[in-house]
Amino acid sequence: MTLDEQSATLPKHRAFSGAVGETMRRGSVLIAFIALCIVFSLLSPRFLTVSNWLNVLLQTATIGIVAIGQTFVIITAGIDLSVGSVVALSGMVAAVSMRAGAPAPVGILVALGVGSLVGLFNGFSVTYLKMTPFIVTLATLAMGRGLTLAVSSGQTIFGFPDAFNFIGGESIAGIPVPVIILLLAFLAAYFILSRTVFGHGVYSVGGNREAARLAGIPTVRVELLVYVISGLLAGLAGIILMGRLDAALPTSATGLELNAIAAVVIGGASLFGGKGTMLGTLLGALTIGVLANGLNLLNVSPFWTQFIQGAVIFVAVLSDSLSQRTAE
Amino acid sequence: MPLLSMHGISKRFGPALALQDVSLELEAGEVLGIVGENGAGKSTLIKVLGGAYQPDAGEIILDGEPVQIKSPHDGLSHGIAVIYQELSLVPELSVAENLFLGHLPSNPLGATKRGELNRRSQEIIDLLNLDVKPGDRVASLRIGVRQLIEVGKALSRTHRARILVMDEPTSSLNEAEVAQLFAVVRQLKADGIGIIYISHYLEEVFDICDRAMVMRDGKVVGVRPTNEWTPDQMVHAMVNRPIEDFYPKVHVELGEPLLEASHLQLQGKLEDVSFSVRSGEVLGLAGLPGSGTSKLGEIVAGARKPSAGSMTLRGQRYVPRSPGKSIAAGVGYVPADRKKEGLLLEFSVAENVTLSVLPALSRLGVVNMKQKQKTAVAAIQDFGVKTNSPKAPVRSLSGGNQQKVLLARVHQPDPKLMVMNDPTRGIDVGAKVEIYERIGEFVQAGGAVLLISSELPELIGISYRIAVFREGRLVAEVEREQFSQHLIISYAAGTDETYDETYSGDQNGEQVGESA
Ligand SMILES: Nc1ncnc2c1ncn2[C@@H]1O[C@H](COP(=O)(O)OP(=O)(O)OP(=O)(O)O)[C@@H](O)[C@H]1O
Ligand SMILES: [Mg+2]
Repeated sequence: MTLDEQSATLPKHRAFSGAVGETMRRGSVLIAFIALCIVFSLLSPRFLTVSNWLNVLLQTATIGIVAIGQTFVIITAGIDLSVGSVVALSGMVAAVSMRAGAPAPVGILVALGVGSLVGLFNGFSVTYLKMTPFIVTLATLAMGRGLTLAVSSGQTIFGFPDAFNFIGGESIAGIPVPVIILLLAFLAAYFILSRTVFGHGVYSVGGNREAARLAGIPTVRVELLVYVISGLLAGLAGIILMGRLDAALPTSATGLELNAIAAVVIGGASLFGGKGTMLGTLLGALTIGVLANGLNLLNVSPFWTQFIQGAVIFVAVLSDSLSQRTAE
Repeated sequence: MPLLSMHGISKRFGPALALQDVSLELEAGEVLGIVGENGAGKSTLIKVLGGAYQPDAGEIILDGEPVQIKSPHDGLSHGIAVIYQELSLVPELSVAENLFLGHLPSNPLGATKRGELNRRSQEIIDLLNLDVKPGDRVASLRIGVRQLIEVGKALSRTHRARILVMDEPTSSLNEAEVAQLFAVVRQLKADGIGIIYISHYLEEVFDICDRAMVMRDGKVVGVRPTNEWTPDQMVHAMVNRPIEDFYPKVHVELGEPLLEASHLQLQGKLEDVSFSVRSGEVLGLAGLPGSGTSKLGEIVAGARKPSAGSMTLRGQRYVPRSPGKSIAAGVGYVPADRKKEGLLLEFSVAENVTLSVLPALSRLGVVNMKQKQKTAVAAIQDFGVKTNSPKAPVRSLSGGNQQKVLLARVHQPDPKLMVMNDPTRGIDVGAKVEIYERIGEFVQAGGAVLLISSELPELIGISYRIAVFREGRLVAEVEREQFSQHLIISYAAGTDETYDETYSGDQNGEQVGESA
């Protein structure tokens, strides 16, 4: 073993498998996204307009925010199926408390609190009770939806303070508030995942839980926290959704979890954990949004829209698995 | 005509040439040993033979016929059975299911024929002379036994094995298990099977091989009948320099007690264990499998909680609640099973070596990425990890280099006490000496080491004192002046007889991967 030999084999380039680099290198999301945009802009003159793009972003805000939380969970090799229910539940509890006289800021805190609490419950069950994430969150999915219906007696609740309409519908400098919130959440999550000790912990738990624990990563805390983050962001999405509709529906966001998971997976994350990026997830969410928007502009029937969305997920995951195979 | 010849094999991984014009011949009924430094290309060569890798150049000739081995399946159908360095058993399945994984005997409807499965498994178990039942879950078996089952699995996969390749099969076997394996090898040899045997243990190569081939930097640097090699020549050929002292020792004045443990207890595993290690000391822990040394290591490292007892570290009460807390308190841990408990295989070398030192590289929870990169590059050079790039996934490294990544990681937070369980597993002779030297420097600087090892010569070679365990109890502490294999074995086995055959310091037989 000669040391000079070793150093000779060390190239002088950047030493890190940076999250961005990883996404770009594989690039399947980015390519898919750009290809879609090109196709739609050729087929529909309305596609590449500012107002349409703001619309796409607005439509993507809820899924995007939820998918950001889901990314943390999926990278630890977990999954959070409860997010759709949590979006509805947190919105509904906030709506009920505001109807009972709570001011808007309290309503917002209530929604975020409810989301975090469900997340804490999920995380506790996974870490301390050692239950399978899929099963735990499947249970909270049902429990959350049931609670939402119970709290609202199955009724839609209308009429909120102006602050809510602001969050859901107003714009700042021409950009809708939900879009601004999405971007802020993305930036924060991007930073947390790629730059913090916690973010490194998230990846390492997904990479090899026991090895991470023995290397000193507080794996229980990390896992607990990813579910809390997912719940918190679902609560945030609940506020936005409620503001946009100016109503809290007991059935809102049904099935949202599947779109959120799809966005994360299209973005290059692996359900086996250890892999995934925020940028990928954002692109994944935008891909889903652009697809829905473009097909709508082209007057494709909603039935086919669903089919095509499914096919895109399939292709995204397929190209990923193929590129992995050739890399080996 | 030789059974097998490989001609001018070359294989490149990115910029690195892993094999360069390598040729070898193997006769029926012959055992060919391959030795060489970590990363010399041994595993790559046999992966080419087994069909796991495609060579960039060269040809493989079986019985005089050139053959293309396009996949491991192809290899098997040519009668080439390979046991790779990485264990490939599925712990959740039974012994029988593992033996026949992927080709379970089944009826036309696809249902497994239990009877036949069990009968054929029993045949293999008998051949290997193992003390297991076909229905035993693999997870419940010691690593050494698992390794023997790998041999059985390789044999079961080809109905007429003609070539058996073993890549470091003994890195986690104790002496009795090695003897058991060698008995099987001799039998297969007598049956006319050609065997390729890769090992870092030169004694084994001299013991079992007819010829030995030395590789360095992807090339063959010498092939001779074993009796024409001397150990010194072989080592010289491997590392390209002579090694005088295999167990370098430094003189260290012992300091204050660093760790003191009193009355440690672990339900059914450890019984009232008290000991202390002083700074400057390497304390070896010896014992048969299941004697509790690994469990003790886990307790000191914070990976497992004792059911009773207490510890002090540098005079302060030391109650490690998690490995993270222990690391923060200055205790490092090298687990025995680097794949399961040590490394994040899919992550880069850089990520792995910095994993334990992240808190020190960060402020308010934010990692200083520049500093992290610098630390990583420095650690990689410091430990002589052979990798194409710091960004390369650890999985792409040779076995010994993976082990170096683990050692580098544990050193980063600057520990005062290190618990090392088989720290030199899979490491070549040259690098082993470097690791021993590093241990010497570490204790010289005031550190202390708890060394658990499956190699008695290693324990004797570098420990200052050896604590011998039997059935969870510390039965003797032996000072360096009294060190002898015989004495330690007799304490470990609880008798004055010589137990060379049954001794093992293999601690890894105890369940690995269990969390506290
Ligand atoms: N899949 C791979 N991708 C990239 N490089 C590889 C890959 N497999 C092996 N290498 C490189 O090829 C070289 C030879 O590795 P190999 O595993 O054959 O070494 P070895 O002689 O078996 O070493 P050890 O004794 O440590 O097991 C090493 O430098 C290693 O990093
Ligand atoms: Mg190897």
